Amino acid sequence: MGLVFTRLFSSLFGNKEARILVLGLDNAGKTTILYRLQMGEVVSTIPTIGFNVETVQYNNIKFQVWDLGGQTSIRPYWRCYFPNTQAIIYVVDSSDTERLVIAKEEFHAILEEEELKGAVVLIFANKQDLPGALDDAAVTESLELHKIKNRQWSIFKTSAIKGEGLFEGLDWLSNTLKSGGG
Amino acid sequence: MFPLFAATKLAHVKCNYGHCQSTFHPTCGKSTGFFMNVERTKSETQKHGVEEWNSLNKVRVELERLRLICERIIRREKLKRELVICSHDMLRWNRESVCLSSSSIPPPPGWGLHWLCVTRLKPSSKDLMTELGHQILFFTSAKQKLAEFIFESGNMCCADCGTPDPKWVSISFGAFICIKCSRAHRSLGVHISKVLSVNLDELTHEALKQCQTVYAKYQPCISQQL
Repeated sequence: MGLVFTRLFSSLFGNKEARILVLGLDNAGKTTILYRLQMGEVVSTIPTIGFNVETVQYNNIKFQVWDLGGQTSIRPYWRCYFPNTQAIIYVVDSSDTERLVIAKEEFHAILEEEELKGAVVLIFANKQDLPGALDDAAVTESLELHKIKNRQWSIFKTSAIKGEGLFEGLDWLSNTLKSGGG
Repeated sequence: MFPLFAATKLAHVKCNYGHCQSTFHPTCGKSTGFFMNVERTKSETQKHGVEEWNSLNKVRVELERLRLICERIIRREKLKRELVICSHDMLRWNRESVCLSSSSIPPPPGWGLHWLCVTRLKPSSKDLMTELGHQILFFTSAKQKLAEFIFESGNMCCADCGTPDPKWVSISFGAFICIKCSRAHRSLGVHISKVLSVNLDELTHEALKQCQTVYAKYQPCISQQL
């Protein structure tokens, strides 16, 4: 009986849980974003070898955020984390224009994964504070986001250092997840 | 039957025991436990002459050693086998997958030719090999070149803090740094410092070249300051 009430209560007042992966090329700012979301602080990070996982409570949703290392040879291990994932945050270094092509390839490879078929995709065009950073429209174009089919996605301009755009993105994510996507 | 000249693709040999009709590929047979007894038949010695026969035998030994070197390099560098290219038919015959004929395949762009194996052979056998028209060409990966570069340039410790054996490299400065110092470099943004891992990233030859040029440019200033 108690269990029924708990379930009813949580369904009425949220407290949903979501498993989220933060992916992207190396040095895109994944770890910085994770700790900015979790602690609200800028931490200086060393390259992630392996992963970081933190829980972020936002809009009555408990996000379990997995931040995976992005070096070339550890990208194949991302797929180990794909099962039961509701959403992906794909982080792009908007100032690293040379590697946007690689970012695009990796991104579309992820989208083709069977295990991520139902996952919602949020793209962060990060490092907007740096000079020469492309805006969200340019990143949309270079990542060829118009090719995404049968999936809810959105792109946000962010700066993890300044803390801009991150929570707007998370707002969108929580609304999409609440409305049944993912 | 002399293996060196049985260079055609998938040469089959008939079993010579009694009336046994089975044929087999010598190396496959060898790997499954059969053995092939190479006999010096009269006709062959007559065809080639004893001296030539002996010199060819020497070449064969050298080539076998060469193959072992190749194997070791492949294992050490974890190169894809297709990237190791050798023109010698004997190697092709021996290890179909290891070596491809260099004449038929042009080098992929960005891969430097390296005469690694030939330089390791004895001078006498090198001459012999050139006489016989054997060319062994190697494609070295950027990773291998980077390792050589680290060694040659004396970058055995972190450029910023001096920790030995740095595993990260700032392509923009041509400097090798440790993981802790990579923190500062990464926070600057890629327009100032581009940090890559020596082990975990795939380095392109362009990146390596850039690294070397910058290093050559700044090295005199650094030495002067020291």
